[in-house]
Amino acid sequence: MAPLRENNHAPWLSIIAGILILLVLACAPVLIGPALPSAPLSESGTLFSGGTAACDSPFAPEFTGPEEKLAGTADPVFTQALFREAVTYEPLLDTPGTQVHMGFWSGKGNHGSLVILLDAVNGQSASPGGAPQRAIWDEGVTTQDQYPSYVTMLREHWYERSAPVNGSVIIHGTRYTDPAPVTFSQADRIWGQYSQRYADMARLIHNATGNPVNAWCFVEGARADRIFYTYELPELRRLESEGAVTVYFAKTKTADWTKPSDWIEGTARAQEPVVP
Amino acid sequence: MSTGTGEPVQPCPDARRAAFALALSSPRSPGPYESGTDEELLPLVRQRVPAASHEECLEALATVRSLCNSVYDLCNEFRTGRYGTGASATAKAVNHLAHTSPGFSRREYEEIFSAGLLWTAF
Repeated sequence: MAPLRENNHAPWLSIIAGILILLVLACAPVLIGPALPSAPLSESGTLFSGGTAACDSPFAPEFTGPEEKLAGTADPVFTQALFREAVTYEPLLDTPGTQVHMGFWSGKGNHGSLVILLDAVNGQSASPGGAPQRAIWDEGVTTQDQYPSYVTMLREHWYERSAPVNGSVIIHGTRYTDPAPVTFSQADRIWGQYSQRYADMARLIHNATGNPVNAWCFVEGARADRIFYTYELPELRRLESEGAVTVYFAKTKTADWTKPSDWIEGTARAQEPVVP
Repeated sequence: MSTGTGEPVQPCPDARRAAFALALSSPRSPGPYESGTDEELLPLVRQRVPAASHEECLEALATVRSLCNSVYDLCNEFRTGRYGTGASATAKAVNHLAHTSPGFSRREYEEIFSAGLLWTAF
């Protein structure tokens, strides 16, 4: 950026420059956050200072109403939309013969373990004549490429909005007044239903590829009342009974997907969760 | 944490902020802290705060790692109802975090507490 000249300009230039600087400062917390693809904005919140959210950036929060989101994520149509998004990024997910792997995790430390597994599957070289293999999770088709629906979930900031302090919520360091307040229970249900719809994708992938999906679960130390055991596992059991998935549970956080001895196969032998 | 001469390292606010930002760089978990040691994460902080010393960056990483662990535990307890329900529960939990893990701003406590609710949701 070129430096502003300090002399020989009209006063209105200073005013405009001041406004621009204030806008940049207001946007800074969101601009330095993780890069997210752009998606349409819904209703903007109000900045705590009283002005409206001026940052029409791809990082700006969306204040979707919780009831609207609960209805949307409860609908099987959501799964079809998620599948279409996935196929847009990775057409092999909709190609006969592809072996698809879906990742699941719950509990401290297990997110990182799943990242390693996904990268290992997607990073391997295809063997000559072998079926292509792709690994996905609820965030996207790789650990880098995220579903637009997942990006929207993040931009809706359900948990930030479920934990207001003195009537305002903090998102990327900026205070907002939420036009559609969210309860903690709603935030849990929204993420739970989103995760359930993600699991449902296994049925569509199975139909498209002809191969049962391998569902890899890192849930060591996970708790019984969280999303995996309350939303995802019941869905995986249904899918398993249909023959759409083969479910594997990691024995440790360092389980290697190429070593069968590192895994327990079948939901009937699922690890017992930690009961709070 | 101490320097090579045994003197305790004074916290560097800029290094702390950089280490804190790292904890929130992955929305679903304190990712870098789950997959990397302090030594492995050190270059990421030094890159952002080149003026900070090696010891100051390590101190910042250790402090934020400890904060992340506290947030995990706190949010698990929050989910059991230990702090009650509603808006007052959030304030109580954030106050408790500030008391047990000093060295951060009120906004940082509120922000990482919300992040912790997502970390522990699954």
